[in-house]
Amino acid sequence: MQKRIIKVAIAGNPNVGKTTILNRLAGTSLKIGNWPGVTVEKKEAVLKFGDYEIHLVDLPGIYTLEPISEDERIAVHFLEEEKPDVILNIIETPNLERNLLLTTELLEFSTPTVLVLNMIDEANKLGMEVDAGRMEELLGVKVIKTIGRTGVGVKDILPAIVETYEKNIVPKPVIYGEELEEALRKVYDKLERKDVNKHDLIKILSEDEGFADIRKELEGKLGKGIHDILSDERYAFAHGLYAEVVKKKGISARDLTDIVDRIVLHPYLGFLVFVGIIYLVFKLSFDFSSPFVDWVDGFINDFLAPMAYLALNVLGLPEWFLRFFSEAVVGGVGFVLTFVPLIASLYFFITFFEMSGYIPRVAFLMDRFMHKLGLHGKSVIPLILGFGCNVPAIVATRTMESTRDKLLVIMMIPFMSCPARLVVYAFFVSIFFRNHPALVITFLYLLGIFVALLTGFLLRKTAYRGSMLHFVMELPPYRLPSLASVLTIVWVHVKDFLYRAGTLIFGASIFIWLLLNLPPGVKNPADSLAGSVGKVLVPVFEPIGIDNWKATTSLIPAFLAREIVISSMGTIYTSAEGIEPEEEEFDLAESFREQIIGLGLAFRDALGSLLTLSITSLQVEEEEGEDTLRELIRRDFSPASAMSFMVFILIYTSCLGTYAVMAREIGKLRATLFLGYSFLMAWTFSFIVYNLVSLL
Amino acid sequence: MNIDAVSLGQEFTIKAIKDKGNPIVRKLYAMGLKEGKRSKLLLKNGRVYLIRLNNSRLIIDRDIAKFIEVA
Repeated sequence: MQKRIIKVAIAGNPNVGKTTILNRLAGTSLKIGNWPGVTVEKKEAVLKFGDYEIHLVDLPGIYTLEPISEDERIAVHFLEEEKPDVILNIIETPNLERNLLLTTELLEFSTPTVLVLNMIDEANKLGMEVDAGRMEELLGVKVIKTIGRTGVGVKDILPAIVETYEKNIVPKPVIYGEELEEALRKVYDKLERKDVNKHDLIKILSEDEGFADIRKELEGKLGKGIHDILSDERYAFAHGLYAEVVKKKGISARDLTDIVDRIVLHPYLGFLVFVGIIYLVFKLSFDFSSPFVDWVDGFINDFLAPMAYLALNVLGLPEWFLRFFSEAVVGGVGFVLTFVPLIASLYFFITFFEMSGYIPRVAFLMDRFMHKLGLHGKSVIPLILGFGCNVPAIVATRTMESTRDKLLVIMMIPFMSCPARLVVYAFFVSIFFRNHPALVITFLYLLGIFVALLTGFLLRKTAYRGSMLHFVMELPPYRLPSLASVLTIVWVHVKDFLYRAGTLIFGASIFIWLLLNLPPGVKNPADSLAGSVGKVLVPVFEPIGIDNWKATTSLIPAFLAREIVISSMGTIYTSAEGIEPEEEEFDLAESFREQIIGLGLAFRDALGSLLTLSITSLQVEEEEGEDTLRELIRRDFSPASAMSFMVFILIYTSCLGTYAVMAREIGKLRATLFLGYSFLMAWTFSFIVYNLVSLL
Repeated sequence: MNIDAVSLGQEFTIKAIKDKGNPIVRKLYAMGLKEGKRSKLLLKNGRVYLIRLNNSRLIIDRDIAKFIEVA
C-alpha cells in the first residue's frame, strides 16, 4: 500500500538546533554548527514512520516572517507558499520569550503545529522551569521537551507529528487587542475569497493598498504605525504566554561564556588568541596526520599495489593494462589518497571550532578591520568557512542582507586556501622547503587572504561602491561539541573526498593517461597529445618559472579540482619517467602483518607529535637517488618555480565546484569574468614570487 | 542617551526605539530588543557593541545603536 505523505516544515529562530534534531530524526549528516546561519538552503529528509512517509524540510532560521536576507526569504516563502501539513517549531528554551515571538507568527497560519522546547538542559541550568502541559492547554498544540545534542525527547517528535496530522490539531486562534481584531474582521468581510488565515489577513491589512482605509483608521485609533501595532500585539501575546508557562525565570548571571569572551573578544588579546588558534589548527592537523599519511602511502604502494599486480598477472591481463594500473590508478589516484589523513585532521579541527561557537566571535573581533574595506564583521564568517571549502562558503553568503556585500564577499572567498590546495602545498613543501614548512604554508595562506582583501578593496573602489547595511547578529554561548557529532561531519567531508577520488580524480587520471598514450603507438610521452598540449602552454607559464610540459599539462585537468594537479603529475611522471613497480617477492601474510604494525606505530608517532610546539611533520628525510615521484619533481622544479607553482594553484580558481556555485549565485558572466581575473592575479603574483625567490 | 554613553559592564533599560519602519530595526525587535527591557553592555570593539539581553548576546553596530534610546 502506498504510504501517505506528511510534509513537515521545521521552523524556528537561527541556531536553535533544527538541523541537529533533523539529523537525529532522519539519521542524516547535514551540516550543523554553533552560529546563526548554518542552514542557508532548505534541506529535505524523507523517512518512513508507521503508515506515513514523512518529508521533513529543514528551513533556514528566521526571527520573524519579514525576511531581509536570501536565506530568510527561502524559509518564509516555503511557509507561505508551499503550505506544509505540519509546522514543527523548534524553540531555544533558554531564550523562550524571544522565540515565542516567532511562534506567535507561526500560529497565525492555523496550520497543525508541534512545539519542541529544545535545549531544555541549558534552561534548567539557568534555573528556568517551563510548564509544557500549561503551554499545550493554552495553545492547543502538542509540546515536547528535548535535548537535541543528546537525543533526549527526540523519539516523541514523530508520534506527535502523526497524531497532530491525523487529528488535524490546529492551534487555538491567536487573539489580539480589540481594535486590531476589529480591523482584521473588516478586512475579512471585504475579501471575496474567504479561504484565508490570520497571517494572510494581517499581510493584507499591512501591505495591500486596497485596504489602506482600514489600516489608516486603525493607525489613527491607536496613534502608531501598522508595524508598531503588529509588533506590540505579537509581543504582548508572546510575553503573556511566557509569563503563564514559565514557573521560574532563572537568572542570567555571568557565565563561562562571558568570562571567555572577555579574553577572546578583547580588541588586542583576541587577535593573539585568533592567531594562536589558527597556528594550533595547522600544527595539530599536520603533525597528527603526518604518520598516517606515510602509513597510507606505504599501504597503497607496498601492500595494495603489489597485491593488485599479483592478481592482474594471474589473470593474464595485457601489458598496457598493467601500465594503466601502475600509472593512472596507483600513480595518480593512489597518490592523492595518501593525503586523506591530512584532510580528515584539518576538517576535525575546523568542525570543532565551528561547533564550539568561536567562528561568529571572529566577526565581532574583525569588524573594525573589515569596516576599512567597506564590509562589516559578519562577512568574515563565509571567508573563514572558505578555509574548509569554498563551495559552502559561497552559499553561506545568503545570510548577508545586502546584495552588494554578498557579491563582494563571493569574489573574495575563492582566495581563501582550502584543504585541496593544502594537499598541493604539502607535496611541494616536503620536497623543496623541508626546513621551513610552516613558514611557507603560512605565507601561502596569508597571501591568499591578502589577495582576497585586495580584491575586496578594488571592487569596493570600482564596481561595488555604496554604503553598508547595519551589522546585527546574535552570538551563541560556547558549547563543547560531542566527539560523535564532530566525527560525523568529518566523515561527510572524507567521504566526499574519497568520492571525488573515485570519480573526478580517477576520470582525470584516465583522461591524462589516454592523452599520454595517443596517438596510438607513441613511444615518447613528450610526443604524445598530452606532451603537445603541454608544450603549447609552456610559453604562457615560462615567465613564472614553469617551463616543462609535464607541469603545464598537469594544470589542464586541475581546473576540475586542485588536488588533481598532484594525481596528474603522478600519472604523467610515472608514465614519462617510467617508474616501474617494485618486483619483489610479495608475501601477503607478512606484508599484512607489517601494515598492522605500521598502523600501530603511526598512532604512537601521531600522539607523540602532539607534545611538540613547532610543526615538525613536513621535515621529511631525503630520498635522493631514488626514482620516486618526489625525486623526479625535484629535478624538474627549482625552489623558486615550486613556490611560483603553489602561488598559481592558490590564486587561480581552478575548481569546477566553485565556478558552478559562483555561476548559480552571481550569474555565469560574472563567474566567468572572475575566472579570468583570478588567472591574471595568479599569473602576476606567481611572476613576482618567482623572481623574488630566484634572487634569494 | 544612546548605548555609546554606557560604560562597559553597565546595565541599562531600553527606553525607546526609533524608525520601526526600518527592516533591520524590526529584526532587532524580533530578536527581543524592546522598550522596557533590561540589557547590559558586555564589550565594545571599534564600532560594534556586544550586549546581553536576557539569555542572549547581540552584536549591534554603532549606527543602529543610534536608533536605541537607553536610560
